[in-house]
Amino acid sequence: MAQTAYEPKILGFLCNWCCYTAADSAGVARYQYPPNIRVIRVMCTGRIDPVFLIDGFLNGADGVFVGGCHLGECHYISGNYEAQFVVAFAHEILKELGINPERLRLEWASAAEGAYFVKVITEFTQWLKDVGRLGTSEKIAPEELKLKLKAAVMALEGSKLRMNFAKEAVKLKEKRERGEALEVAVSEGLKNTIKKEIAFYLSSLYLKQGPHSVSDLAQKLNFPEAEVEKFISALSKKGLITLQQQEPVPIYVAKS
Amino acid sequence: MKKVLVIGGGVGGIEAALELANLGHYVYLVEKSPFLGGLIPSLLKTYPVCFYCNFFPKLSECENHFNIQTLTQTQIKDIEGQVGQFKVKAIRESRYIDMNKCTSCGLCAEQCPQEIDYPFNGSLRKRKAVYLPHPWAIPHKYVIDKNACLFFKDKSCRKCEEVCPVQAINLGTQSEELELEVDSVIFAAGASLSDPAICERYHYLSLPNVITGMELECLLKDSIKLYGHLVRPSDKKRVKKVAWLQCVGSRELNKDKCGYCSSVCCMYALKEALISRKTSDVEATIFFMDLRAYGKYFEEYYQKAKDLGIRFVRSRVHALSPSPEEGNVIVKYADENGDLIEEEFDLVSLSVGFHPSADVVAIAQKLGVNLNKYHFVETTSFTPVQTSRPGVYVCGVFQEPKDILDTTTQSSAAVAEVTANLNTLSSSKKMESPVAWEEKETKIGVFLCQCLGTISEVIDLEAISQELQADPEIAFCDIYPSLCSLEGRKFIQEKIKELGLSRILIGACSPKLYELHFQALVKEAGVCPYLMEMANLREQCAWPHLEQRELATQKAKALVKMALAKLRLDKAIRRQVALPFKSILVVGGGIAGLVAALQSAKLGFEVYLVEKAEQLGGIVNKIHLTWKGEDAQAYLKNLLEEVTNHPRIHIYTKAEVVDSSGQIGHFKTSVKTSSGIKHIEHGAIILASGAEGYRPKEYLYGKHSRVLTSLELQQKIFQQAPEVINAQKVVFIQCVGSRNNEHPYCSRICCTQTMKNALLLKERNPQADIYVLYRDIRTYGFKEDLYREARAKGIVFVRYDVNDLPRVEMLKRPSGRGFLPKLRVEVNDSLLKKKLILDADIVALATGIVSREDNRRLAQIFHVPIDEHGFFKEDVRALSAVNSMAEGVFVCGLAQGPKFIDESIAQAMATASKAAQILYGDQIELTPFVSEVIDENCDGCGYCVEACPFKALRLVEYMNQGEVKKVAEVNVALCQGCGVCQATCPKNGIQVANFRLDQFSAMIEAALETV
Repeated sequence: MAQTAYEPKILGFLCNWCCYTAADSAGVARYQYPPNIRVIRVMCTGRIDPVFLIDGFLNGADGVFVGGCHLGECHYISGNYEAQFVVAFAHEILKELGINPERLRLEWASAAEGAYFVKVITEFTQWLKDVGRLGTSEKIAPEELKLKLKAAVMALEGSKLRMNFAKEAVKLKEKRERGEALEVAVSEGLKNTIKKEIAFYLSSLYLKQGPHSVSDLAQKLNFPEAEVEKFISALSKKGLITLQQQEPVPIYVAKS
Repeated sequence: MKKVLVIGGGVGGIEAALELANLGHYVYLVEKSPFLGGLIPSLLKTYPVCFYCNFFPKLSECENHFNIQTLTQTQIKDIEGQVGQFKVKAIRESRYIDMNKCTSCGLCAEQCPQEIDYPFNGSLRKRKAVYLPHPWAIPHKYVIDKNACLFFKDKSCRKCEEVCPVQAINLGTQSEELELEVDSVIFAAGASLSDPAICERYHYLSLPNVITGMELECLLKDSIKLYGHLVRPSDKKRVKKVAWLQCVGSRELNKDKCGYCSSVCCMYALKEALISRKTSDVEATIFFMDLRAYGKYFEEYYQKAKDLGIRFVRSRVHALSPSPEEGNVIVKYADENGDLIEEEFDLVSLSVGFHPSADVVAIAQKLGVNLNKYHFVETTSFTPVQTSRPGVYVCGVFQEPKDILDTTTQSSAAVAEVTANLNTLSSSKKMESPVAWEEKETKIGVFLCQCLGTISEVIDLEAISQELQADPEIAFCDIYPSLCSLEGRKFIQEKIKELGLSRILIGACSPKLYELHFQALVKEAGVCPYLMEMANLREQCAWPHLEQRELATQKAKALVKMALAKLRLDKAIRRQVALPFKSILVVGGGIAGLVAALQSAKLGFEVYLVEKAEQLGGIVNKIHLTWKGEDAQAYLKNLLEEVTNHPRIHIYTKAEVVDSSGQIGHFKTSVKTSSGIKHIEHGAIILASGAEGYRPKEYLYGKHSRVLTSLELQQKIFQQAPEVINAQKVVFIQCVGSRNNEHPYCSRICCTQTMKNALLLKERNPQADIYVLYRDIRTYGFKEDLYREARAKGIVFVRYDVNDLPRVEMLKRPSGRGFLPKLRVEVNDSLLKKKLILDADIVALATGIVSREDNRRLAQIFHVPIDEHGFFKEDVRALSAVNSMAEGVFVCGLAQGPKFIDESIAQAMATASKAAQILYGDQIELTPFVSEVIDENCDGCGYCVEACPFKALRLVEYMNQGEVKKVAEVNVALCQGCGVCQATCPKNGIQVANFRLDQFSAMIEAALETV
């Protein structure tokens, strides 16, 4: 049952030059907002690694907030454009995990916009109260959620997904610098990589939990068996899993 | 220690004070208002690029600098004496609040019964009689507005005195008289804004929706905050149609008081119109005479405004009147067809200009400083910051109306002059920190600040403290009433020394306010300043959660633990260069290079001056008169003599830089000279490589001998060339090679050059008919006088449209030899809407300035970026036009962008001050927050190289155990520490010092830890 009176935990990343200053000026003006947000000050939103955002959820955040300078006003020229893509990318990951992407919010607030910061945080906190704890509105069991987030973090720390992400971020930057109209969206190719990489790490985690056959895994992951076979062979090659029994169907388990 | 008085705490004064202090002077920074910053805090943004966020750290740096005494609410009464012994009398008004005690908790303002409208027409806010004007006000101490306070009205209220928890308020204190002795004086007093009430036709006092530009900035700020869009003062109705009226209080003909152009109003109106359009979708109309977008990137900004649909009407508005529609204003003007139009607007903004402040004028006069007819300080082109009194300097608007970057240039120039003339560097020793921080065992000291109740009344600091006591690494944890007080400072330093604390956590106010302060404090006690972290318990915890003590305490606990998590993993980083070379390389021997070299040599540095040509002097060799009419040749001759005879200046002519390596403090540069390659070691670089005049391809230039450029024309005038002196009809064409597709920028000087040349011709031949074909006349500042004079002398101005350029043709050559074909100019007068045919004896092309091709080569050699027009890019974030984007490399003169001689000289002097600040002392302390490559992780994929906004990264190859390894390399001179590279890196192969991934993950964990 969804709890109505719970205090959502919000992790915030605010850029030093704009949004952090907006939060300060809100305080000076004694504007009141819910005390749910825990703020990490970053020099630039462009330095926010996608892994921070997912790591936040893994560590128990119900919502993650990123606040930077308005587009075109970045202290470091273009960092907030990078942040825009990082957040779009993280949104895709959340979707893949079955988590409501609105739990990760990106806003711009200039140093003078203390009142706006308050409005946004108040609304976000209320919204999180309404939808409930992470996982409740998504109807994912806590352990399952944790496992999925863990897999996503592993995928984000793995070089394959990072490589593809970086490639696309750089492409977008080049486009922007050429002055082309741009839509900050994650390509289908990258979405596929997200899907595959998360499934791959998730299967490794499932195998850590216990022995599985390929079709068990495929069912749990909702992923084609042929792909899962590939995961299995990759994991075996890395020496991470072992064949527990061959008959009637091969069953695999992680090496202890 | 030499002492310097800086009059004025605006941007010019702050820059001057900081630079002086960094060069070992003691500075009295005197400001008449209660806060520092001058006009800037009331602005919305800066144009054309916004560097607003870089301004406030300077204010707090100023306040925290041990060599600066900031005296707010202080008026100079008298100055007498001479260099080395000025005696200054000043009166410091009482703030009624003891700044040493006030913690800016705000209780006084909360309890103050007297609420007034902000004394600023545009503001929608109210404030109390005791107040802070904005959240980042420096000094961050409350002040009492005597005019609003009930105590000063009828002694009926002393509420603030009663409620102040630290007894900081005493309404009985008196103003005090100060006597200061100083060696030198800098006027950085800025100016006031012109009062539109003087001119009745604007009805400024009677129409509530007629406001000034500065008021509009405030209104925009407030109304976007409160309503999300622009509203007007009278009825808070959403504004749809706004008019900007330019030149209010500027360019008023026949008035000695304000005949000049205020130089900044066109641009700030553009900025306001752009912001209003973007945020509130208003229909914006700018009524103007000439749109003076003369500075670097200004023309592009103007273009952007046009593209966004801002309407420009070339007309001086006759009058404003109230409309029958409540609150609206009717603007009466003549359009370009000469028809009288009445148009209705919701809001009218008057773009007011600068007027010197009467009180400062009085002091300057008392001191015997010569002022011009407008009461600005008189200077020459060659000594742009020197007043008529030795030892007394000027910078900023009080010298001539100008924008922020031109102001800070002059501030630096004035600092260079003061330092050279007082011979400061030889007599003072720089305060330096230890070469390495001792690595001790981890002993964390936690200091929690009650902020005299402000924090502790909301947050249960005891509970936090108790929890922390259990941590074995925390050697000390205590709660103190006020850490920023003198006692608090002492307390922290004593505990550090007594217990040998190695890392410090301060749980107090916002790091944005006090980080610098506490860094300096722990450094003084022997702890690396980067082993200090702050938890923001006030602005982001106690204040916004006043009624939720329990949750606020939980949050505070988390904030402290997060800071602690980072602190544990912080490294005792530092980046410094020891024993820098005390020498400077100057590239370019034009006027800027010569002045930079001479000024640097005067400051005591060895200078290597490299010039490509055989002769020094550059473009000034071809210039006879400055715009003020001074003899440029005589000046150049003197300057050359001084430079060539100076024992510390080593000159290489016909020489070229071919290679350079090293970093700030330790550069090594190879110079190709006629006698082989010279290797020079130097600590800083000044790029003064100049620019070129545009060589026209248009208007028959080069095909007809009577089509001349402005420079050629001036030379011919001085050579008394008969074809010029006796010419009956001379046609000037403006914007040749400027403001077009090929060169989209304005060349800044051509309009004034044309005025000067046209007047010279008129002087020599009063009968001559002179026509100037122009697009906008951009004679900003006092150059406007020349324009007015030209008009008065009968020079005809014809405006043409950029889409309908003038045409110059040769009429058929008459038979016989020795006859020149006649020149005919055809132009469509866009004002009179008629075609003019002018048979000209001389056609003078006001050619623009174009960058040198060589800049690209120099940019590569010295790793400094250039802009898309080929001029060196400045780092506006340093609030300076002479800092390049690379550490230790400075730019000045035409190499940075088109400008006048006086502006080039000021920039050149400024570079000398900047270079001296680096090289002065035995070590250079640099920001350690730069990226570092983790070699074992980096596989040379290069994504970071592409992602870096500052082009500070590149790929390099080296041999690693017999194999070629490719890795990224950071140019720390360009790196700004934003961390975008780290977020892009697929392999965890690059990181910013003390902002590492492990630190973030520790902070994330601490943030969300269940309490």
